[in-house]
Amino acid sequence: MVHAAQAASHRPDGGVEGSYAQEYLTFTLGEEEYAIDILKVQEIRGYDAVTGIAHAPPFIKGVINLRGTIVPIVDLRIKFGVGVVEYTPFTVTIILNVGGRVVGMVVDSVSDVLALDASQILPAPDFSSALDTRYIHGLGSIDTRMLIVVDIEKLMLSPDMALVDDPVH
Amino acid sequence: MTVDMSQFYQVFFEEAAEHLANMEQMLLDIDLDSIDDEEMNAIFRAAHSIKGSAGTFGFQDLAQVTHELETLLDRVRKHEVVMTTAMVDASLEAGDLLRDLVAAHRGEGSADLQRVAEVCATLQRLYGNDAAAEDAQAAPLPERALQKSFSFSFALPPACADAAGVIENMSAELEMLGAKVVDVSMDAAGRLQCVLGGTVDAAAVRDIVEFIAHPGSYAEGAEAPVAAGDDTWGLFADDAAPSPAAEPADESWGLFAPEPATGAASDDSFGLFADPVAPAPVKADESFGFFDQAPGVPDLAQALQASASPDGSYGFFEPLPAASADVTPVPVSQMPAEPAPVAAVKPAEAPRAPAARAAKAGSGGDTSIRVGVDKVDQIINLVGELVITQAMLASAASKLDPVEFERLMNGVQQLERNTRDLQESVMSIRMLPMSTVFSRFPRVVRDLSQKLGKQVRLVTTGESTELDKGLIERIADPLTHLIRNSLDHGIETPDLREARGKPREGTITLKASHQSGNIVIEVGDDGAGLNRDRILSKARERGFAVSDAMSDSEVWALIFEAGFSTAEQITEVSGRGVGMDVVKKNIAAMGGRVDIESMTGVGTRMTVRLPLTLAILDGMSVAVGADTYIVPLNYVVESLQPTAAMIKSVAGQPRLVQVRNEYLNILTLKEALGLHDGTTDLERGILVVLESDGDKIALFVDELVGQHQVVIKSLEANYRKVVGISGATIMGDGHVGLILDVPALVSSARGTFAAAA
Repeated sequence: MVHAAQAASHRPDGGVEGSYAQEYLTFTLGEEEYAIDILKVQEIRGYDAVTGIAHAPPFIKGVINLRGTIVPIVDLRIKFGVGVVEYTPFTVTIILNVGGRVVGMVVDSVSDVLALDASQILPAPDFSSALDTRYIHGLGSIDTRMLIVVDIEKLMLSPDMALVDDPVH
Repeated sequence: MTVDMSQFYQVFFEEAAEHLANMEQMLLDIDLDSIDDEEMNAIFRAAHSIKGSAGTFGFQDLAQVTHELETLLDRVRKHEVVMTTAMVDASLEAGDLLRDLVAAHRGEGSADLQRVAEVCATLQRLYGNDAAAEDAQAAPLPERALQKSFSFSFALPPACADAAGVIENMSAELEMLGAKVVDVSMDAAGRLQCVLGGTVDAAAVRDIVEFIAHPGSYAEGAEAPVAAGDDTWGLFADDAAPSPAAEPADESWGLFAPEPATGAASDDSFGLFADPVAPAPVKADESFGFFDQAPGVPDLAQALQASASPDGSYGFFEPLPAASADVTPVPVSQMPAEPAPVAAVKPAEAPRAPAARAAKAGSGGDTSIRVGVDKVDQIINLVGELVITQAMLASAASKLDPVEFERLMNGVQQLERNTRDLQESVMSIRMLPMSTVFSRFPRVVRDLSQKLGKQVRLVTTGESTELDKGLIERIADPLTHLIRNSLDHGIETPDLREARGKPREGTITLKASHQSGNIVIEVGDDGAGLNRDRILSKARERGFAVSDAMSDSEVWALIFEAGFSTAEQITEVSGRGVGMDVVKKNIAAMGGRVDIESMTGVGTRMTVRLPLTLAILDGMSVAVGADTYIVPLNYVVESLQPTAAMIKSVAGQPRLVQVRNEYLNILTLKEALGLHDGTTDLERGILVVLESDGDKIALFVDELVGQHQVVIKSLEANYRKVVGISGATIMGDGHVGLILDVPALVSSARGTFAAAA
């Protein structure tokens, strides 16, 4: 946590010399690669059968029982409209702990854990997509790969995801 | 050797709190017209247990109060005095004081020594009056009961080299108990004879001494003088006629001289004759005599040696005949045969009582253990995991050939049964019945109604409704406040009630139930009801924005505003205007709400609704397509398979079903929840008739699956509120099942029907 906090405090300075690198978990949705703060990740597990919820948007698959906790599962592929939505034994659910809530998200695959320092994260230009740029922290570039660094907490708690009752959160 | 007693304090505090709660409960239950001996004994035991442990831990103030209380109770128990309301009150008062004292020792608040003295005086007055009138002999005893002396003997372990050091340590320990070591001496057989002065608790002394003594060598002498609170030794005071020999000239304690002791010890009878401090017939000078010069004694010692069994057995009983014989030396020498049987019988009876008492007290203390809630939650989750694993095994096994793998199949089936049982028992651990909260209210009502001069009866129902432990603890204070409020503001004085044509005795009802996924607790009274005009004028006075057009419920809601109080007279009980808003805030903090219904002259009802975060619910599971939903069983009236003849259509839509002589709306769960699969053919499914708030609907589902007890889990913790769903649960196979919000479904059915019509 200290690690993350320090990295965050340095970031606005535009990359102090030897700035702390923050670790990110990267995953793929179709052809795209995304990165999220690893400290928000609680665990990674296979895709389980979910219990559907009435009146939920299509990208909310339902809820699962995670050791006694009822956890909603969202499918980011449906939400962002990327990749082929199919559930195979290799489909992965990343369980996140954001803002005191536990939420699972379905992705195509998890790639690796990367350390990125602030200088490696470039600002994203404004564009319109299913993923509002408000939730994009920046674009990480490693060689030719482009990582979409998502502020996952902000995204999951946003009214767009329909996971939270009160959008004032 | 010095043991740090403070590590045991916590245990004592908890134990004392439990005993006090028991005692209070039993005192409140007492029917003064027909007192049950067993009840009195139970109350006495509770007081006695507290006294015992308070003495052990050196809490003299506690011991003193319980001692007086115990003395009073003992006299009642032995039918020496008749229990009166005043005595019950005094006992309750003493219980309160004890609770405060315990809190003070815990470091919360401070002890009020003045009150200790007052309560002791009250208790003494209550048991002393009759005593003085009836029994002149026994009368002086209670006052002196704290001045006991106690003697015991023990042998040091053979390996013990430093006898002096051991004795010194022991003395220090004993003095911590408040005892004074009056005399320690060693007899020829190597046994230490000790005499203690001051208030001592025999059990505590035994605990300390047994720790250092040679195992099994501890023996007690008699307690003296007779404590009125203890029937064990009481007979001597009555039996023993003071004889000249028994009247010592001074206030000293004499010890038996070594001579008889030596004689006794030499035949392996443990020197018991030596140590009993004879319970001398009590004279005003509180002295105890020992009679090595008394004429009867040599004979006696011989007689006893003869009667003491040669096999070396010893116990409580032997010293007593000696002691009782001691004080009546004249009969002994004149008719040696006579007193012996008498003496032998009586003491033998006496010790049985405390032994039984101790056994009961012991077994009572072991019926519960204290465990952290987090541990229980962890178990609940682990069992949940186990259930899933078991389900996985079961499904894997189901693919095997049942003949070839018969034993495996049997094992898997047994595992399933065991896991279910385990899950059920584990889930019930966290739940406590409402009676744990309700039980405190009879006392509140009793005290308050006396203070206010009102006659009030408390009626409780639904005590067995189970609520999560966390909520139980937090609901107690708000409920107490609501009850006080009803009593103070709601119920009228007896005269006024009579004038209004009501029974003089008011009634406060306390009712708990499960309703629409909530725990509903109602506090009702048949009092005056809320006064709309007065609330409104008061609100104006306080500067609230109000108008005469406000609905009743809006007006009633005003009393929950901060700084609002309509009591015409500010009383000690309520009326400072800091109550109801706090109640509302506390209940809201638990995710609940309070509603008020009131009718002038008829009464007021406050309804507290709490969500059940972890309440257990009896549910019926129904299937729609592949999904399973739980219908809370308390809403289910019946279920039936409809025939075409029963279905009636309105405006071309089949939306009514005739069940006997009623037409009910049909609500299709599939449509209500917007599900994709499931049948809509009414003749191929099941109708479940549900009732909520007096309205009935028929819910159409594919099939009934079964009946379960389920733990309600919050859906909102990680998700949001879903219309028609009140919560979730984890099914036996590890999947999530959603619990239907029946009241919402019922009202939505009415809405859709109204819209369609």
